[in-house]
Amino acid sequence: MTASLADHTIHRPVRYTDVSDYERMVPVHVVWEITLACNLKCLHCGSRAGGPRADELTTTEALDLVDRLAGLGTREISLIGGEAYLRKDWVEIIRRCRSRGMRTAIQTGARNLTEAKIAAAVEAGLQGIGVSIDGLAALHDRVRGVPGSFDQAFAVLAAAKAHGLAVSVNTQIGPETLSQLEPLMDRIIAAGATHWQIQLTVAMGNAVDNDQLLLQPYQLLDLMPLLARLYEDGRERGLLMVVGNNIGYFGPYEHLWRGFGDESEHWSGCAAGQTGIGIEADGTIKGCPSLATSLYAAGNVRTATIEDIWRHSEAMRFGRLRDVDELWGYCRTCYYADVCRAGCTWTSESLLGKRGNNPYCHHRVRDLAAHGRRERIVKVKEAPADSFAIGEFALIEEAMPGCDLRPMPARDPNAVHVRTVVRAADGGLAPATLDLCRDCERYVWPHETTCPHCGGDLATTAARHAADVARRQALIARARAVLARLGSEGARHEA
Amino acid sequence: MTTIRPLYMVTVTDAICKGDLAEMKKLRAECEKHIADHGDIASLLSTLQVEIAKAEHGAKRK
Ligand code: SF4
Ligand code: SF4
Repeated sequence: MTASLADHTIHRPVRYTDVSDYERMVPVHVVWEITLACNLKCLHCGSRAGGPRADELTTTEALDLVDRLAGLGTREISLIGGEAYLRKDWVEIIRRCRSRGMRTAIQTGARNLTEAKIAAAVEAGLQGIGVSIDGLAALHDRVRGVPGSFDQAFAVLAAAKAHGLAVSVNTQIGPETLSQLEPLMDRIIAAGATHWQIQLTVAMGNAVDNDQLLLQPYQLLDLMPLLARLYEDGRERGLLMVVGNNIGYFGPYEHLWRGFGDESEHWSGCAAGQTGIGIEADGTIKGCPSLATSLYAAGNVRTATIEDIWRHSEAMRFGRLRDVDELWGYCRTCYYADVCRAGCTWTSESLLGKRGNNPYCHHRVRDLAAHGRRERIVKVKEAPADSFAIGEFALIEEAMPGCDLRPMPARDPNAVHVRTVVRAADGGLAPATLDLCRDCERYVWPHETTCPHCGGDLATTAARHAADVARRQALIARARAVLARLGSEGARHEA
Repeated sequence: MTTIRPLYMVTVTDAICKGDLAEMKKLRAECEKHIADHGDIASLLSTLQVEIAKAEHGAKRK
């Protein structure tokens, strides 16, 4: 029998946010760069890691910060770098996070992460490890800047698994990765990883210098069907693909992967500063770890309390206050404008220098292609040498090779659907919720009666779907009852 | 509602497949395991019925 993800116990992991987290503004997820020191030389490193920051938090400051995050309601924490384990007190930080009840994991490039180090972290309570692997050996070693790093990454996967850690692989996708995804997935499954996080490489830091590592937006036309196929294949083989926040949005696969089978889940906008916090090693706080420091540094725990920064800083609150009026370009006229808000802020703003317009979008790429068009990016400004620095790219719309340009339909920016919002007493805002058209499996606003994508009658298809669900539920109940009886029979015989 | 998944949010390792499809596949796997462990009662029964019918038919002919 094939190992199946469905064998996992059904439970609700702590990481799952609910409406009340948004309303009460709980920073459920924290990603913390505990040091910028790193022993790899990645060509796409957004934080340009290498040496430690000049003034990284002391052990006392770091442990105090853990306590304060716990007080704010943080339920899970990912420790990153640089390389988290290059900080001498990393095990102590893990121990404190666990004593505060947070699910705790590290992300690593895995170079020189010895078995002894893994054992010490596990003893302190570490629960998960994510290993970055960006392609097969030659590509990975080239991108990560160190020969042999691919083999080390797999050795660490094996050691971590042997120590009982939850093991995931994290892959950044660029043009060269595309053809290697399938064989890479085979390797990852063979290594026993259960989760595979996929993310597009973002135009930040070293990736601006090495812009050949950036996907062209129109390449989503090839990438997304490939990912969908691998998602389904992986699901059958015990590997759950976790599409990152810059893999989107609202195309034909949104219902497939965003909720891992729960179709009521869909992309609902950048959560920076709403349910997440990013921390830099010197105590700088941002709404998301990846955002540009120059634009989103919301304060520093050395000069203000994390509580005040979280609740009141403008750079933290942008996600709670923004509306469709800050969108521009295609996104401003998009059907999904008010739920999507141009996807991942980090990805779009790093690319174009201003948030609110995101060419890395499957819905958009398909719409443009249907009119014989595509978008291409060209670097026009280098990024400064700082950590999390951004450059600038021009966005060029052109004819798809071999196609005639057809006019785009006129779309009035003032006509996009904007939901009525009701802010909670605490100031937070629950994200918008869409329905799924059961004919074309694309998301639609709940007020629709006819699907704007396929023209189907939504009530009819919803009724048909409800009947299907009822039938399936009945079958599930029957199967469970039969299996339970067989289970108890088996138990009687064994006794 | 979806949830934040920034790059490096390693704790997603507790994410699981959800929905009817995942549940039906889990049940299918349990059924297959039962058959592997205990044999397929349904096909055993129909084979028994066929053989009984044949035997009875033969007995009547005698
Ligand atoms: S075009 Fe922009 S607003 Fe529309 S779905 Fe894509 S990223 Fe979101
Ligand atoms: S900027 Fe991108 S990665 Fe960060 S919280 Fe927003 S969507 Fe997620």
